[in-house]
Amino acid sequence: MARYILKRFFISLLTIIALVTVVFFLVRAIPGEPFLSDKLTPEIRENMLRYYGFDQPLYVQYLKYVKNLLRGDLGVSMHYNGLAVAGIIGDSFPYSASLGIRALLLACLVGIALGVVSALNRGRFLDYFCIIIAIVGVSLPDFVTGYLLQYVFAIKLKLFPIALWRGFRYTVLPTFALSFYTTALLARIMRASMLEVTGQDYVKVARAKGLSEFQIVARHEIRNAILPVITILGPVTAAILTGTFIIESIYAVPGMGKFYVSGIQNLDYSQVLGLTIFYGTFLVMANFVVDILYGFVDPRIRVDRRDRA
Amino acid sequence: MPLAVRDLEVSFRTYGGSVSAVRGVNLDVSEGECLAIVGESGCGKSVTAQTVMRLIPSPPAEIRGSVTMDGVELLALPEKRMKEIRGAKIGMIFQDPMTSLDPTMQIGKQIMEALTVHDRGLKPLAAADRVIEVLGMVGIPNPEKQFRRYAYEFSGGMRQRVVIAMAVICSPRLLIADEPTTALDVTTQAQILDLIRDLKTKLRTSVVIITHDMGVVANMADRIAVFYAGQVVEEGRSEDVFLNPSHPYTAALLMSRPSLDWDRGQKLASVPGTPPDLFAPPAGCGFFDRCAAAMEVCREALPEFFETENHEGVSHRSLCWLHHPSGKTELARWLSGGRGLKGEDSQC
Ligand SMILES: Nc1ncnc2c1ncn2[C@@H]1O[C@H](COP(=O)(O)OP(=O)(O)OP(=O)(O)O)[C@@H](O)[C@H]1O
Ligand SMILES: [Mg+2]
Repeated sequence: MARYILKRFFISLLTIIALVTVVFFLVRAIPGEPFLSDKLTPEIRENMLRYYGFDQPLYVQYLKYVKNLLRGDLGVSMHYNGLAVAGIIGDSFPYSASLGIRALLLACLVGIALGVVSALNRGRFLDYFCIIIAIVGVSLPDFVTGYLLQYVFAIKLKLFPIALWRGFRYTVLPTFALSFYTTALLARIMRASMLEVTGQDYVKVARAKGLSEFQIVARHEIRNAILPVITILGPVTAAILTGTFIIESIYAVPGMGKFYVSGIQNLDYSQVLGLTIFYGTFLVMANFVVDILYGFVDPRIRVDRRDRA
Repeated sequence: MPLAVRDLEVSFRTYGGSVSAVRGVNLDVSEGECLAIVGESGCGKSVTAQTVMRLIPSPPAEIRGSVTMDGVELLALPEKRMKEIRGAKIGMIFQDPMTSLDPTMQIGKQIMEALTVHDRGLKPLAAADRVIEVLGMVGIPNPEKQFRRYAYEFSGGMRQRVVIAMAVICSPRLLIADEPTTALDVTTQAQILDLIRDLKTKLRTSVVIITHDMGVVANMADRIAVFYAGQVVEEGRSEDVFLNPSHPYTAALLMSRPSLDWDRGQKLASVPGTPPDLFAPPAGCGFFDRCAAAMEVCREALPEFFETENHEGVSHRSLCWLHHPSGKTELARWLSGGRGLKGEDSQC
């Protein structure tokens, strides 16, 4: 297991290095330039470009960026005068993370539960009910779900606040809106996976041992059926993360999304770069955790050839 | 009598109609006896075995008849009571050891589960000790070390030993082995059969062993029941069925096996034709189309059982009109023709 984790770790590290490099050059390849306002005279523009180091050759800038990055310095935002990018992240990320983690947990719990219930009631009312939820969930884009929930539960029924993030009641609607798609996706995968596992020989063997249906489901079926769900947790985390941008703006959550969008609109190199690298690293780490989780659930994964011999 | 199956009928409702997989089967297994069920693929062996364990969900299956164990009617038992019988009174070994084990659970735990589900008061340590003991009994070396291993770390033969350990850990009265060696190579096959025979004596359990290869059970079974198209067509002591097959299907089955005294270049006979369509079972004998000795009556009327021998009180019976008192000339012709197959018969 230790070797498996070490290997995963190095792969993750390499991915992050590649990410930083690619993103750095890609952002610079975006057409246009910062400081293109009419209000700026050419001299001021020159000065600003020099101030931020943009007059130097690209590879020098790259090396300097990496050097700063290693010290945890993500540079300074050009748009929000002088604000450190790391500071922006530090202030806004907790909101995004709180929203994202709530949504992810909710999606996992509800999605897996729906999938199991659906599979156990195959062809009956509950199954169709879950399937319909799943289809609706997968077909509705985040922003539609977001506005819909807001309209029904905040404006019409007045059950929850319309927007902002000031306590548990405020978190309910955005969390539901953000998790709906993922819940539906996980429910579908879990249902299919459960149905497949139910037909496996070892389930029949478990029954022949005298286990009750509940014991079979709890000890053998769910454990095996959950493997495909764990596999897609990485991409799912990514989907939720990007979903936060939209949901944050609908519900006026003071998260990172707003800075990302403004960064791109203003071609704020350091802001876009910093946020992208932060997001990317976060995702790579999420995948790393998922890989390790997978190794714990599926013993076949965590052994490499040498151990097996 | 530990197990008695009476007039068992199992049919499956499918989109294409109803399949009669088992059509009126009677079987008896007595204390400490080994009964072999033999027959080609699709003749209803597994369905019969799994019906005894009530592993066939109904619906969609329709089950009629009776299965009793020590006088208790299993088919009418509430699921809760049936659960207490599965694994404890009847152990079952399945065909494919590669898929019979849960890939995500330590094999020791899987075996232990079979024990603790029937004996809730058992302390985990005592249960683990018993698992290790049984692992040793089924011939797994260093059982303490294997306890925490996973199925993928074992070869097919070793996995089948684990599956067997699971089936016998509660010392069941009856062990049903559904083609336990079909998925294994020849050497391993012999070892697994030896093991089952060994356990049968050690645990004094009755055994039902299912196979499509008569050779596999020749020196293991006390009695043989030959299945064909969902029916038992011949039944008797192992040696009687081997030496004196009295149903043309059994004879054909025996001739389709290679043996050591086979001449070089001699062709291995195969049973010509295919079994009848179980969506629409024939009115008469299911073997009619393929039978070398078929008579007019065989097409129209379902045969009855006729006793052909009786040694030591064990009846040798055959579901074939040849043994009807008025079929003597046909029977003699068939016997003198070497109980031949359909193709050969036409040459003489
Ligand atoms: N769940 C089911 N639904 C429909 N038909 C079934 C079902 N299970 C079995 N059958 C049919 O019942 C018949 C007997 O099947 P069974 O599995 O008992 O054969 P078998 O004698 O064990 O053959 P094999 O040697 O291949 O294992 C087959 O024709 C099969 O198609
Ligand atoms: Mg079978």
